Amino acid sequence: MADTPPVAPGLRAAGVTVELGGTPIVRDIDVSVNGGEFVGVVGPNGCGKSTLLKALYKVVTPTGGTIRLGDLDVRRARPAVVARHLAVISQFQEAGFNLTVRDMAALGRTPHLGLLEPHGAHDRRVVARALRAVGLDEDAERDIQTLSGGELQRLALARSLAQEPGFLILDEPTNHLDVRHQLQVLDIVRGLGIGVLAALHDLHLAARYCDTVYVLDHGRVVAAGAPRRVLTPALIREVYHVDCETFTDPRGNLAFAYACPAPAPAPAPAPAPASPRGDA
Amino acid sequence: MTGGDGAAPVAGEDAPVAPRRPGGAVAVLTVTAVLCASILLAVSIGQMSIPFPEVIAVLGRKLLGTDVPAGAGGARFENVVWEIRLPRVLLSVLVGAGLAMCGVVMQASLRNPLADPYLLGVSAGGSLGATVAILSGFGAGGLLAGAALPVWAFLGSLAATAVVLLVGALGPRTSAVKLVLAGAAVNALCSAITSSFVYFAASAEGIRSVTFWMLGSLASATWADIPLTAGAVLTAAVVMGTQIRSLDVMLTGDESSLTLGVDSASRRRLYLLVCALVTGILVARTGVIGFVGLLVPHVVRGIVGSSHRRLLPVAVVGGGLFLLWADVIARVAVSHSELPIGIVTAVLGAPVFLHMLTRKEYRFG
Repeated sequence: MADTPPVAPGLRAAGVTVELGGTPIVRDIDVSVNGGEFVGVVGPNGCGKSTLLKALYKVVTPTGGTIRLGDLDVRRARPAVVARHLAVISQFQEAGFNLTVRDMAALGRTPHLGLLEPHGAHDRRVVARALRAVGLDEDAERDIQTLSGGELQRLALARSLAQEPGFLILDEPTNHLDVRHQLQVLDIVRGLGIGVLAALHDLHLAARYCDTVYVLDHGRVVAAGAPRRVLTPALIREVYHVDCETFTDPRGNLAFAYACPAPAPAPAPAPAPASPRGDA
Repeated sequence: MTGGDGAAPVAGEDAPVAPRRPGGAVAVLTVTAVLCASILLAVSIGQMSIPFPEVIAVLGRKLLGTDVPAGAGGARFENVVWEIRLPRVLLSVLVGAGLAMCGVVMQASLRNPLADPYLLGVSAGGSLGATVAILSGFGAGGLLAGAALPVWAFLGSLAATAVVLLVGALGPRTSAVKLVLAGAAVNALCSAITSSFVYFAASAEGIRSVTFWMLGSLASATWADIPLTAGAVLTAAVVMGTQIRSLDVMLTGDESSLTLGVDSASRRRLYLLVCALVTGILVARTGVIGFVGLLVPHVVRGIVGSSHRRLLPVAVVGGGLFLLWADVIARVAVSHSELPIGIVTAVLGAPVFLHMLTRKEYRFG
């Protein structure tokens, strides 16, 4: 296929700006993810993480910027073409209808199939493998309305795996998941060997899985780099307004010990004064 | 692994893959077989009961040219079977199929379990368009009547759809409830205007009764009604049949649809256009028949699930089956008289629907 990018394409976004109702939510953000790299986006609620991701996967139209996935111009390409290369797991999963788990996962094949093309042996194999990867193969005939929140989230991952994407965007993929399944989902994603861009709330998970993290605040990137270098007490205090200490846990992972919330910040969302910054 | 699928387990990566379930085809064939049998039965049932062999004999003569001698009833039976009952039965099947299809498509594309041509005012818009056509003379005059009436009804349905969507599905916060409330308002307004037209123009040529427009009737069905209705319903069913995967995807929400490559906003406009077209054409022929588009998709979804590969065909055939029997009841329930078919569909449909809503395992939306 002419539009197939290399096996694991990288994502290059430059100058992405999004305004919603005249208010800038995402301001001139550059993001770069190489094929095979796991990149996190962290930041407080309302910092623009989700909006940035939505702009990258075409749900929100940016007012400016370029987005390329491999050779593909994401902003100009049709959704059906983008969906052959890019899969997305969003925060909320609709499940108010009685599809089976298998049928739901099989929707991931949609971008690869023609209008009337039935699921072939390859499609069924891909779907079965995806369900097995997330541990839902025994539940293939269950009604999705009977699934727990965590099972639905894993099913969303299975659907994305069935898409056989070259790149994956995750928006809070570990919502609703218990510890075991948080690790399971992120391990699976990491093991795909494709580029991944994930918005994460949990800094421990970000530190553990990400090669690079982008820290967003008020719609801007305030720091970017390896988690150990970027997620410093000073930066966490600046963007989350929480005192914390960082340390290396017994397993060698970067960890955070939070204090009570720091004193309330200055009332207006004025740009922070020249405070010590995590070196960007 | 998936139990009992018969495939020998293969170790490692590509272990067993369940074969495609035959459920869909079996369900469609079963309902279709019941429908065919029902058509024959429905033709023999009526105020004048016609023996089943006579029905077969008439159909054989008409369709196959077989030379079966007419029985005791003779030409009288032939007239009733061929000129009166068969077109009416076929029209009921087509109308039921069309309305059920619209219900399936509207419910999926609007992701709203209450969406159907009746509740969202699309049918009422069609009846308003049709009465306007008749009153303004577009529909009354001879040759033009056949062509202009459905066109005006379609325009009415389309206008109603547009208003409901503009009010109910746009704006900062759209909700399922808002859409249905907008539909209720449009429905009430169109019905009121239609009723007042009919009321004040009671003597006008060609305009039918308020009862016809509000509760529907198949009593005037003739063979002339069949080609356009059949063409519209079958074409729409084939078109939507190519969209079953998109309909499935749209259940997952607009954002999810887009990431699976389906631009639900543009698909929704196309699908609702098809629904307005079908609804307008049906309403122009039969008036407003409620409950079919709401009830049939829900009942079928409860049996075969929400996957449109099974849901759409079974609902289309099932809708025809439902309205066929509703019309039989409308014909025979009261001797020497007819019930408006809308009364029958409501009386049959409402209890079933209420029962389904109380079932715990059933929740769409």
